[in-house]
Amino acid sequence: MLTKLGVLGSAMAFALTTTTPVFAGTAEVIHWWTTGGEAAALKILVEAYEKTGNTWKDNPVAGGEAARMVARTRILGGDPPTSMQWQVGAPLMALAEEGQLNDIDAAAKDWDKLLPKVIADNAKFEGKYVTAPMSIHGHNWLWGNQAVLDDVGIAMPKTWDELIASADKIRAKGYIPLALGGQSWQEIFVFESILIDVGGRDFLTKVTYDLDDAALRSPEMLKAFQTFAKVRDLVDPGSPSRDWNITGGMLISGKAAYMIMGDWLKGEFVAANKVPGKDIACEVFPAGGKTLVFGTDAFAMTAVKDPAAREAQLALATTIMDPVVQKEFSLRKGSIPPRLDVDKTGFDACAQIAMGEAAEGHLFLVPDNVTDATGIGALVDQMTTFLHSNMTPEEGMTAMADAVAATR
Amino acid sequence: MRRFLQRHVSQIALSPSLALIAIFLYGFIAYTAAVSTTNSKAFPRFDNFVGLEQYWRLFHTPRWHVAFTNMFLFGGLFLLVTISLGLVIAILIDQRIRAESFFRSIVMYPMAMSFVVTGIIWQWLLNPTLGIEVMVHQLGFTSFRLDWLTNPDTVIWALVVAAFWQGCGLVMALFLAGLRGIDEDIWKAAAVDGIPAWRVYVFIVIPMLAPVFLTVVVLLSLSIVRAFDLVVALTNGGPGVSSDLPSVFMFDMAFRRTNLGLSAASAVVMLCTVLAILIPYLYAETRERA
Amino acid sequence: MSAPTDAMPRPARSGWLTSRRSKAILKRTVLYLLLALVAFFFAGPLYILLSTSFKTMPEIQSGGLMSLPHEPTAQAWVTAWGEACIGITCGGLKGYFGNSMVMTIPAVLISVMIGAINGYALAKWPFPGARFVFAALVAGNFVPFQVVLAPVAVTLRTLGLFGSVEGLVLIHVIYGIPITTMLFRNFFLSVPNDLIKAARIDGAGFFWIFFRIVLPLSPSVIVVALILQFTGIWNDFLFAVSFSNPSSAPMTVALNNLVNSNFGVKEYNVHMAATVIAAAPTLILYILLGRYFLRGMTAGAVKG
Repeated sequence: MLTKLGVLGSAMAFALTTTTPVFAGTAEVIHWWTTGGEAAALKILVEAYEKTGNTWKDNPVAGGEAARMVARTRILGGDPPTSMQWQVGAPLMALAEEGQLNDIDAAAKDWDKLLPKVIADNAKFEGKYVTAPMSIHGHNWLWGNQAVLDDVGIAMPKTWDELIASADKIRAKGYIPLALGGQSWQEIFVFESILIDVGGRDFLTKVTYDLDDAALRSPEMLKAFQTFAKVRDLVDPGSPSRDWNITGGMLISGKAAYMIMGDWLKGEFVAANKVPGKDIACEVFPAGGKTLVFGTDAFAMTAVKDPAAREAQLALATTIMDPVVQKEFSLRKGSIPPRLDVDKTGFDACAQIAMGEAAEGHLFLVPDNVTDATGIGALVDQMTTFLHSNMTPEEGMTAMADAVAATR
Repeated sequence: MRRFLQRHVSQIALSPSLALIAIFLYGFIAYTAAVSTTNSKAFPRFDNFVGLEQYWRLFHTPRWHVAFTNMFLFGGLFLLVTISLGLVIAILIDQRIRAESFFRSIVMYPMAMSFVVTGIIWQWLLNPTLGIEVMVHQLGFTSFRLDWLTNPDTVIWALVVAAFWQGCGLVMALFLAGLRGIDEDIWKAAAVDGIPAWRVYVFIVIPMLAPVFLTVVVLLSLSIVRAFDLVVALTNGGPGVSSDLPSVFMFDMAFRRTNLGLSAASAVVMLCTVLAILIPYLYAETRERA
Repeated sequence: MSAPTDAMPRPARSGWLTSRRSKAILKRTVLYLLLALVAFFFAGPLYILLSTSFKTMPEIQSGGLMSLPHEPTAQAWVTAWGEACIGITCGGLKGYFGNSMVMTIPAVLISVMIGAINGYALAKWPFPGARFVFAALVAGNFVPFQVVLAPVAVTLRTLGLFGSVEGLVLIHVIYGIPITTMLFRNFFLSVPNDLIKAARIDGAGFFWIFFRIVLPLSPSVIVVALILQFTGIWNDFLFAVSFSNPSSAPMTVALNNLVNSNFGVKEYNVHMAATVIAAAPTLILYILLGRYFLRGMTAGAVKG
């Protein structure tokens, strides 16, 4: 039995010593990890958790919105799950302000030292942790099919100007320059990297966090729209509405040279026997922007009163933050651990880059988790409307600024 | 007491249903209207009254205008296509054909499919790298393009075709039943006078089907209001926001943008619009019969 | 393509077409051609669902959707029914079938029963304002269900039914009342009033007439209502996902988890097999009861 525990042994020991479960509880957890790679990662967490003597009751709901809808309806119905996948930051605070979350400080004594400040700050309500971060995913990654790049005779671009300049050469060789799935949640990664490109981290902050009217109508913004307009010509006609994984297939199979997508795309490389960082080059884009836009997989703890359920929550929080669980989980999901002190061996080259960026404080929490959802939503709507229209950059910029202004 | 019971027995029999409907439909509509005057975010709360601010915000949201216009575009096209083709197919099947039950079943089976499944199927079919386009290419017509799903100007047709595929069977069955109920003598009289069949249909038979139109319009309008599943499965509102519908907008505002107030305002506007169109129609039609 | 259709209206010159019989044959040919076109449009998607579900993934990726499977295999069906992984549980759809039945059958029976009584009351025992009541029933139906989720959740909580099968049944019954009432009312309008008047003169009461005279006349409309309600409730996703819990989740929830997952490789063959499995009970119902369905319509069920 002990040998079976393998790498998870320390997880169990850690959990046992810190929480000493008096009651063996059951944690019913709502999450949206329903596919193969996600489930493999989730199993690491579930197995480690069940070794603490608690029971995991799985409640998967495909699709983040649907899962959040279910969670919210359950809370309104007076039957909250023990824990649920929920983003950090503003969405979490909205729940906490309604008194719908429990704090887990009893299990989080040293988390301030273990987590990057941006995550710690956004996982706390009134100074107390209300969620446990499982892993983080970077968004503004540029991926390049190395074989295609070699064939064209170019290196990975560092800036948007370089990327656009290389497009003609790529097309001349019969490749599609940029694989893009034309759905707004995918397109926003491209747009954000352009914002970093034209004005750096400060500009990205002003536009996407502050929704600053002056920034939204600035010369930098016009430049961003001019670049974004060129994206229309970088993609193939099949782009609109295409799923991200089918789009990823175009990069992997060498139909397209580049793709901008979050690092979960690595799961597709591995499935196709491609090595991230070697067969598929990776780069936080634009290079030198000192900004890795990221989102968090975290489990919020609902306001359950039952002592056994409380214990189950604390044990879950402890398990999630266990360094071995964090490592094994991220290895399978293609993410990186939020804990900065996790052993880095075994991670691929791209994950190493991401962990380096995190250590240097370049993390930038995804605007969805910071900004008023209606405001950033209006921005996203206008971004995607612009891309799928013939609007000029000037028109696009004005329409976006006006739409955002109307939400105030 | 007994006489009272006897006299009012139908009201008494109806009253439990009416009470439930009063609460679960009208009560909740009122509740939604109340939420729309608040600044509710993730959860409904009534301590933050903002008057009509959400409505002002709604009418200044470009995406709402797209969704609202699409409701008329999609609804109009869907009603037009489904009613006219449903009627034509019913007339074709009514020509004393062989294997009638076979054709009837084929047109009707999609009704058994949910909008989710319908959306998924048509997404596969209209997908340029997977579906009909590939098939036509394999037949040798390599310049053929079917870009309904990827072209913002035509994406609404993808929704119309899928919804038509699912809903036509019901409409056909309703019209077929109506045609079967029409007196045979009309046809005999028309034959004697030498009136061509199409004229009999246009000027005599179709006007006689008027009551069927009420049922058809009500049922199809319900599909339009509830087309949420179809849009999410087929286009997810894209490309851009070009195939957005009020129900999708409402869901997004409530559950992705966590702005219940705005979501409720859009629901109220949509409900009022639909009822403004339907109530006069309902009123006129029920009047003739009752 | 356009040439033959152009020629049709004026066939006068070509001798054999002028005779009445050949005209009739031509008409029939055109009729069956049109019907074949209609059948092709409606049956095509079912063909693709079925043929793809018998293919392997490599074959789907190489060949598109339209070809017949080279080496038909039922593996996708086995996977969809009993093996497909949804989250960390790998049991396919089979565990959810019973949940769907337990929820659907009582909800359908009760809502049809209530609709029948309501329709009968409105059509045959009219009272001042009956028309208004009917219009109100139909009109209120146009509220989009997404917005009533919150109040429904709170109400179910108050009743202590949240997350239970009973709660789901209750919700489906309530939101089924308008449609079933409309169907039955419109059908009962066509039942001759004389029958009922005669019975009332003999002293028969509301329910006696309903059970002894009206119901026996209306098996067809009952079938119509049963089918429409069964389809609607079986296929519902929104209420199912919101008001069930993992142990009472019906099939549509599992299907959504299987087919709608955003991340990861899409196994089209399994998805299509699962789609057919989830729709199977309604499809079978249509095939078994389809005849009655049309008969129900013919009897005047929905003539307005």
